[in-house]
Amino acid sequence: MNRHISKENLFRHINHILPEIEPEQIDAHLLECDSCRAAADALTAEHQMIWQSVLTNLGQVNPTPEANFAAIAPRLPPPNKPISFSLHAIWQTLASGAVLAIFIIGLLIYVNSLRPMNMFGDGGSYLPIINGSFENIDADDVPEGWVLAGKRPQDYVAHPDDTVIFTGKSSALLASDVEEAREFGTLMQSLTLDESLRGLRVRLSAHIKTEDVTNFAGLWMRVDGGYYHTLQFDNMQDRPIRGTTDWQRYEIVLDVPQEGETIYLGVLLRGNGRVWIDNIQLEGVSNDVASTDYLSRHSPSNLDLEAGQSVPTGWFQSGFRLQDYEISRDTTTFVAGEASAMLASIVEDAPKPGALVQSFSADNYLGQRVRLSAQIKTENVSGWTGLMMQVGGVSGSSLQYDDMQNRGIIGTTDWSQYEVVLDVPQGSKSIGLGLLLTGSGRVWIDDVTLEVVGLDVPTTDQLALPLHPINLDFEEVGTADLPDGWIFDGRRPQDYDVRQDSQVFATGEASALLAAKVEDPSRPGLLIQSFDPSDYLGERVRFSAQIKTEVVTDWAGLWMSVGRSELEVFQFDNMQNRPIVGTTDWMRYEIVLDIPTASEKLDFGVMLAGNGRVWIDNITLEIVSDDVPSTHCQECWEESN
Amino acid sequence: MASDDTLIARWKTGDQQAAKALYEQYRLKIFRLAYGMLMDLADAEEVMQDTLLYALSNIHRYDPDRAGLQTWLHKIAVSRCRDKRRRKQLAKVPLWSWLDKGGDAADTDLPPEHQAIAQDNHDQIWQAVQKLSPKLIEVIVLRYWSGHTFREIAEILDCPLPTAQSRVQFAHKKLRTVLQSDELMHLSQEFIK
Repeated sequence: MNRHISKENLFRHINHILPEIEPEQIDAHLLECDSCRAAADALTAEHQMIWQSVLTNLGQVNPTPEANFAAIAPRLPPPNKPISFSLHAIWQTLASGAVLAIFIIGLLIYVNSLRPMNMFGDGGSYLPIINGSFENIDADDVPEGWVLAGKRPQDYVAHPDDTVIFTGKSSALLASDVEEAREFGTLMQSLTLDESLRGLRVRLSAHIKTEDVTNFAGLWMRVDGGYYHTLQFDNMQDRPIRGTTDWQRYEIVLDVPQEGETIYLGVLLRGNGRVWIDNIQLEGVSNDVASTDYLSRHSPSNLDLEAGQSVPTGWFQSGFRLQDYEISRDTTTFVAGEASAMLASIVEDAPKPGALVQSFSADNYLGQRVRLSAQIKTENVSGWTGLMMQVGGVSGSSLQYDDMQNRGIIGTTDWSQYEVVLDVPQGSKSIGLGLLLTGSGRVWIDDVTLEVVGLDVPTTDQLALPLHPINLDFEEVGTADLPDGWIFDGRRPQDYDVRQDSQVFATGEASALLAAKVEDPSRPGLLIQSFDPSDYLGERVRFSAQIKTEVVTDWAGLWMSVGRSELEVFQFDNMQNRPIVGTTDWMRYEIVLDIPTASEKLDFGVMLAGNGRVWIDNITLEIVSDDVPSTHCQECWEESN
Repeated sequence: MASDDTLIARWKTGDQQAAKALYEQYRLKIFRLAYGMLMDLADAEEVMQDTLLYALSNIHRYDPDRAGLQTWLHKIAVSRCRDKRRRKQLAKVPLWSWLDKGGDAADTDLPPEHQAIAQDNHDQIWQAVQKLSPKLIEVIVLRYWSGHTFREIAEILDCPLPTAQSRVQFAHKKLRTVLQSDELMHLSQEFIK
């Protein structure tokens, strides 16, 4: 072997990958050839250097002690009852208006499993809570009988406090322990129910004092049946304690249904601040005392937003980063009556949406189609905003959902009427409705109505994917000038002009236009349509369309993705490896992908990166034989992410 | 110590101690893998927790015939890291700005006077690694931190074997560009003395 060894083969040799030539031949050559030996030594040294560097740097970092097994154990499913996570589930939680509940579920299961107990004695109107007066002191520890839990308990501390008390010798303090507490902490305990308690109405009450609570604090209580099915729930989210407040008694009233098995209760703090709690009691009360249960509310309330002080009564703030948004009742800006509600971001480009919501039982609407409509006004909305409504099933699963993402309101707009229409199938448990805001800006809502409509009014449900794509020739126009059935997809809709174009087209009388509206948009824009590919499973499909471009600086192309979700994509092509650039006349392009049998979603459309304008028209989707080569591009998928 | 297979079988019957043992076994590896890819302690911690929560909750989906448990866990972790990256513009905090340079991890065999030099060299390379694209950081961390074979990297990244190989090779090439090849050679020689 006289020729020098290529870099590729040296790399393979050092990495013990099967080289194109025998290892013995390489070794023999390295003995003879100074140049190759020097290259091999350098490469080996390079490997060692990187290896040592990575080991040194990563070998020294450690997670915090709080990130331990106990922190995830509550969310582990019981045997044979696997849980799953999805974006969809997040929306369910968000929309259900019980954002804390889903996390509390797991915690409570865990706490309950650790300390099974039956606390209810025979008779007496007060039902024993362990150490409800917080007198059992071990100054450095969580008060006896109580557990510190939450989404991020490591961000909070809880201990007895003998300097701030309502009665007795000490209270309990729950306080944030980090500069920016991102989630919530709770001081809680669980009580196992027995026959003597079922059928009772119970009141949880306590004295609470707060200091600088940035988000909200409150009592909470839940009654669960078997399999952690929540029967009754209230966390005071609609009457939150905020800021600095003196000792005051608060209460929650729930029923204990016959199928109830466990009560969970406590005090919670979301965001930063300090909360003292003292003299917490649980007692049986007569049915004259009104229940505060969310889940058994049978109709929406305060839809005209007139009731309330600083926040509208019956509504609460929801979302995963409550600290990024605020809600208020606004008596200076309204369209009817004397007040509206405002949802506003208080940080630049909040990463997760915020919402103003309320939820109630679906019982009164079962089997009917309902329309939520409201007047909305916006100011400088950088993401998008819109009405949202969710129809939830057992355990919070989302049966129908719409948040107007496909027709979101952007920028600054005056009062206008918007609506979402959903079915409430038999078996539905809850309806959540409200206003959603992504990114920064301010949005007002007023004059909300919820009404039953006929089946001739089309639903706007976003969950159900159609079995067939529509409007492939772009002749039909939908809302906001978008071609019917098509949506804009991309992080910065404000950077793009997307609409049906009846001036420029290849066939018929219209095409779709996707154009950059700003100089050098930072994120690509897409015009897409999604459908359920059940009719195509196991087949190879060709998506083709005519495209015309004008001064495209980066690239334009067809775009198609086949998968189970946005994060589980099986097949993908965006023509990144054969981009359309510059100015081009109408020409037909195509993407050919297989549709694996596990596919549940097919997205297709056109994308534009950088400046320019792209028109698309005359789309065809057809099954082709396997001898038509696939254009699947794994690299493109990775690159696009 | 019980094998992964034994622990998995026990966890499938609901033995939470087995789940805890699996968690402890992989906690640190996943945390450091995620940290290498994200350079953010809180995010790495979240990825670690999410990965193990998902894996333990979905243990029935693990197919030992397809890949080892660690490979499967790392596949989930890489996916979570990508998810995190997508959702967040990373604030690049230099590791050495807060890291305690006690240097008792990998360099204990070196004489004390060499440890400081080696640490500096490591920092320069690590700094260069962090300048690579997320895709290349992934393969560097998988290869050099986790010690995965190329076949395992291909499985984790869901790409063909040659792609995994060429990506590591490309990462080397980019590193050289970043570091200036002669400087790297100099550092290499100093280090391997």
